[in-house]
Amino acid sequence: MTVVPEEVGRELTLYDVVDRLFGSRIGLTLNELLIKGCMDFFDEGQSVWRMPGRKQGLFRAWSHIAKRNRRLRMRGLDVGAILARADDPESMIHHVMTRLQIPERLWMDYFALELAKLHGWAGFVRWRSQAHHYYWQQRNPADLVDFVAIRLVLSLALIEDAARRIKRDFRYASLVAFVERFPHECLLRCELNAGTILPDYAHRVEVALDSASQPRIESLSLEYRLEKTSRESRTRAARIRELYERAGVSTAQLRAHPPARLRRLIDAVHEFKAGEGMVWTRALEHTYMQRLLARMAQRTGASRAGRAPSRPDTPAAPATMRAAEPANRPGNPPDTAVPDIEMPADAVAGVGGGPSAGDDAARGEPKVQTLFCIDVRSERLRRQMEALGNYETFGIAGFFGVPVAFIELGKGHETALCPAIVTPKNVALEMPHKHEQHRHSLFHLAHEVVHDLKSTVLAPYVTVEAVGLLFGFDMVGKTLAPRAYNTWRRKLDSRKPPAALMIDKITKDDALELVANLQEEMIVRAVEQHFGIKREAITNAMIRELREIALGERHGRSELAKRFDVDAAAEALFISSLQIEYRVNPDQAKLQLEHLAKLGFRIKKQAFLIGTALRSIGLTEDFGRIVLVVGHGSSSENNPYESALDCGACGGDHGLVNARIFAAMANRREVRTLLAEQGIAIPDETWFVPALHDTTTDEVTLYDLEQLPPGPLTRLDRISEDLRAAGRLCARERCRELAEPGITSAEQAARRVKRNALDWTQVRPEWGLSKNACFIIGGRRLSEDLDLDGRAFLHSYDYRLDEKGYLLENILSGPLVVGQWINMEHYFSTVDNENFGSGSKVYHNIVGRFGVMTGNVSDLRTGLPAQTMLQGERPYHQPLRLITLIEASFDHVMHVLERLYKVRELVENGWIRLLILDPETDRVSLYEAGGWQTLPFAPDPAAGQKPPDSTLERKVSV
Amino acid sequence: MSTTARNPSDDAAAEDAPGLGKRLKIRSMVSMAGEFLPFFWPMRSFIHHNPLHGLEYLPFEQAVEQATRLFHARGYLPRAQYQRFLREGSIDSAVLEALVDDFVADWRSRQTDDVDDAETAELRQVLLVLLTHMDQPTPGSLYPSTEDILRCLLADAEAADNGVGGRR
Repeated sequence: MTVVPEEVGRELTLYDVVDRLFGSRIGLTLNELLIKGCMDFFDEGQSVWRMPGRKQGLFRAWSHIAKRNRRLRMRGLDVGAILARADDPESMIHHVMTRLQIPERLWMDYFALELAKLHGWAGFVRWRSQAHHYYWQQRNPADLVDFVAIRLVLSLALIEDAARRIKRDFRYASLVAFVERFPHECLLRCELNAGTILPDYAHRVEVALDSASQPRIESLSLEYRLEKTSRESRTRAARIRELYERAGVSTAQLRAHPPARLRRLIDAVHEFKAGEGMVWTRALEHTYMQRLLARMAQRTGASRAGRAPSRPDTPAAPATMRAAEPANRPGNPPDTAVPDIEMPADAVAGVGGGPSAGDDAARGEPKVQTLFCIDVRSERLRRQMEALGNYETFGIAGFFGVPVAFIELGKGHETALCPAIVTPKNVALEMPHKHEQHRHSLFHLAHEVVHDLKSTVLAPYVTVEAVGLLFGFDMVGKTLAPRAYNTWRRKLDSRKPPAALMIDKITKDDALELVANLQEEMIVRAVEQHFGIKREAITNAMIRELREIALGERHGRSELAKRFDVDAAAEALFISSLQIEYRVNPDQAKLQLEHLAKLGFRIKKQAFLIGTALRSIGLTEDFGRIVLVVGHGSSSENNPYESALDCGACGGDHGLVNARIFAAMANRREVRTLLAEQGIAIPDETWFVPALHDTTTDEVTLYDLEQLPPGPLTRLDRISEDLRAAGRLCARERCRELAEPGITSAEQAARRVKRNALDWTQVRPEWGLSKNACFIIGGRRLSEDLDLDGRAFLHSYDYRLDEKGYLLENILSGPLVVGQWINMEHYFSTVDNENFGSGSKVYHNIVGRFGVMTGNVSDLRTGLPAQTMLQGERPYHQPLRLITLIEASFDHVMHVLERLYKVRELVENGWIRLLILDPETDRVSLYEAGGWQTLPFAPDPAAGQKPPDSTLERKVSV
Repeated sequence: MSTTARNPSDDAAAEDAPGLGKRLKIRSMVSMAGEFLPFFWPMRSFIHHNPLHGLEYLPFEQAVEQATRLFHARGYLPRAQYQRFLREGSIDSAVLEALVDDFVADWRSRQTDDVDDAETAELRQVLLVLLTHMDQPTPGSLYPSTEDILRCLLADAEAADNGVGGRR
C-alpha cells in the first residue's frame, strides 16, 4: 500500500495522504469536530442547551461559535483566522481550496471525497436541503455547501497545524511533488503507518526513515518490496496448490502442466474471484426463482386439474375467476388440497365455537374480503386466514392508493402517509366525535384547541401560534418550549377523545368564514395582551373593525382606540403587532386559504382513488358483505427503529389512517354512485371496515365500528375471532423464526410475541422485513396455498382489467420502487452492517431526536441494525436482489416498461430481477445479461401428488 | 520538498474573493458531487432506502464496485456465509455449478491459445473447489504478478515432490 500522485485529490484528500505518510490522525479529529458541530446545530429539542443563531444557517451558526471556541484554540487550531477570510460558505470553500492549492479540475472529486467521509450526516443534510416543508429546515436551514465549507475549514486548520508540527508543507503541489519524488519513502511510510509492514522489517524501516537518508531508504524499500511480493506470491501459490489438491490434481500432475496452462489458470482464478460475490448472489437468486416457479407451476397445475381452466383468454369474467379460485378451501374436492399449511388443532379448536370455513361455505355464508398491505409480513396472515375460512385476500400498497398528509388531533404537524416518492396534495384532519354534527366547522375545533391551551402554562404566546395547528404549521411547543409542550401534548393524548376523520372538502365560503373567525380570535387575544382589555369589554363590531384595519381594508382611527383612549402611536404599534406577530394580514390570510383548500378530498377525487385502487387489485365485482381494509404497524418499546417496522408505503408510519380514510370513502353513498357509473357496483349491503394489523403480535384490531349499522356488526364478532386464530398461527410461525424456546402451542406463541412487544429490553421484537425476497404482481391464484415464508411482497393485479397498462404503471412506479428500496436497504445492511447498516443496537444513542449514533460520537447510522439482519454472527437475511414476478402478457409488460424510465433502468441495470409470467403462453421470461431468457414453467395437472421440488429441473441459462 | 513550512495565509491574503458566478459554480459543484449520497430521513419515520441509490444509473455490479471504493465498504458477504447458505439449502449446488459452467465457457471462448476440454474441466473443478471448500479469502488481488506466483507455484510443487515440504 502506498500513495500514487494520481490519487491525491481524486481518491484521497490531502489529509488522507498526510495521515498515511506521517501517521497523523487528522481525518478522525476532523470527523469528531464536525460531528459535534452537527449535533449542536441539528438538534430538534433533545439537548437542554440550544445552539444560538441557527436561523442564519449551518455554516454561519457554526462559524459564530467556532470563532470563539476555546476547545479548538487549545488544540492549536486557528479556526478564527480562517473564518475571518470569508463570510459565506461558497467564498470559504473557494478560500480553502485556493489556499491548499488544489487545482480546480479536482474540486468536484474532492468535494465528493469530503462528503463520503460521513455519508450519514451528509445524507441527512442532503435530504434536509430539499425537504422544503420540513419544519426544522425552514427554521434552521442547512445544505451541503455549508457542510463542505465547515469540513474544509476544519481540514485546513488541522492540515496547517500538522504542517507546523511536522515542519513540512502539506499543500497540494508540495504533497504531490513529494509523492512523485520519493516513492520509496512513501511506500515505507504507508506500510509503517497502516500497520501492514512485515514485522521483521518494522524496526529497520523506522530507523531508515529517521535517518532521512534517501539512498538508505531507497535501498531498504527495494529490498522490502521484493520480500513482500515474494511472500505474497508464495502465499498465493500455496493457495493455488491447495486448490489443485482439493480438486484432485496431484502435485506431480500439476508440475506436468505446461507453464502457459498454469498461467492461464492463475489468471482465470483471479478473474473469477473478482466476480465471486456476484456468482453467489446470482446463485441465491436463481435458486429462489427456480423453486418459486416450480411451486407456482405445481399450484397452477393443481388448480387447473381441480376445476375448469380460468385462463385469461377464456371469456370468463374476472369475478367468475375469483369465485372459482379457492382451491384449498374446505368443501372443495380433496384432491386439490395442498397439504403444506400448518393448522394446529389447538389454534383452531374452539374458535368461533367450532369449524368455520367448511360450515361457512356449506351455509352459503358470504365471503369476507380483506385488503392487506403488500408487505411481506402480510403474507403469513393472509395465508392463515385463507386456510381458516371463507376469506378472500388482496394485496395492495398499504396506503391503499390514498396519498394524504394527516394532522392528528392534538398534534400540530402534517405527516405524509404515502410512499416517500409521492408528495400528498390533500390533507386529512382528525376531529373529536362531538364535532361530527357539524363536520365543516373547523372553527369549533380551533376554538377547542385554543381553549385547551389557555389552561396551560404555555399561554399566552403559544395560544397565538396554536391556531396554526389547523393549517399544518408545525410550530407550537416544539420550538418554544419543547419539554413543556410535550408534557401538554402527552396530557392531551392521554385524554384524547374518539376521533373521526375529516375527509371532505369545505366550501370557499366556509373557508373564508373560518379564516375571519380565526383572525378575530387572534384580535381578542391581542387586545387582552396589549391593553389588558377583556373580551366582555369590546363589541363584535370593534373586533371586526380591527380586523379590517389590519387587513388594509379600512383606514383611520379605530373604535377601540377611541373608547379606551389609546393614542395614535400606540394604536399604530398595536395594528402592526396584529399584522406581524398575530399574523392578521392579507398574505397570511391567503396562505391560510391555500392550506384550507388542501383539506379533504372532493367526492369525484374520492371515487377516483377508490376506483383506481379496486381496479388495480382486480376487485371490481362480486363484493362480499364485509371488506376489511387492513393497515399495519408495529408495537415495540424503547426502539428507535420502530418506524422501520411500520408501513413503508405510508412513509414509515402506521397504515391505520389510510385504511380508515379508504373505508370511509368507499362507504360513502355518493362515491359508490360515481363508482357504479364507472362499472364498479358496490352493493348497499357491503361495508368496508378499517383494521390495524400489529406485525409484532399479529393481532388485528377493527376500527370505526360505531359507523356501521347493526347488521354487519354481528358478523364482525365472528370475523374478529377468526382474526385472532389466524394471528395465533402466525405467532407460532414467528416464534419459530425468532428461535423462541419452549413454544409448544399457538396460544403460548401469541403470549410470547405480545410480551416481546412490551419488553423494553427486547432488541428484536420482530424480524420486520428481513428475508424479503420477491415481489409478486398478479392474481392470488398464483400463490394461494403456497407457504412463502413471509418473504414475498404480494400485489394483486389482473392485467385483463388494465388494457392501457396504467394500473401496472402505478404499481411498478410506486410500490415496486418502494419494495426495491426496502430490498436494497436489507441487502446492504446485511453484507456490510457496519458501513451500510447501523451496527449493534446495544451501542446506539439517539441524537437530536432525528437519528442514531454509535457511542457518543459517530457518523449517523443510516441503515438497519445488526439485530434485524443477523442471528448471532450469521446473516438472517439473505442478500439477493428483489425477484419481481409480473403475471401478465409479455407484450403488455413491455408496453408499460417502455413508459417507465426509472423502472426500466432498475431492471436493465440489475437492481431488480424481473420475471414475466405470461398466462397466455405459460412462458416465464427473465431479464438477464441484457436480454430476455425463457425459464421453464410447466403447470402439471398431476403436480398435486408430487412433492414440491420434484419437478425441478435446472435449465436456467445465465 | 521543502522541510520548512511557509505561512500559507501569506498567499491567501492576495487572493480575490470569488464573484457571484464563481460562488454559483461552487454551489453547483458541491451539489453534483453529492448526488451519489443517499437521502437519510429523520428516524421518526424511517424510510427504507437504497444506500446506493445515487449509483442506480450503473449496472449493479459496477455500482457495488464503486461504492466499495467510495464508502470503504463491502458489497457481498464473506464466502463462508454463502457456503453456509449452500449447506442449508438456500443455494442449490446445481445452480452454482451452472454458473461456474457459464464462466468457464465464456473464459474459454476468450482464449487465444488452444484450450482443450481437459483444461476446461480442470478449471471448472478448481473453481468449484474454491467456492465450496476454501474458506479463506483466496487468492488476493494481483499485487504479485502472475509470473511471480507461477514461479513460486512451480518451486513449491517441486519442493513438495522432493519431499522438502513446499507450502509456506
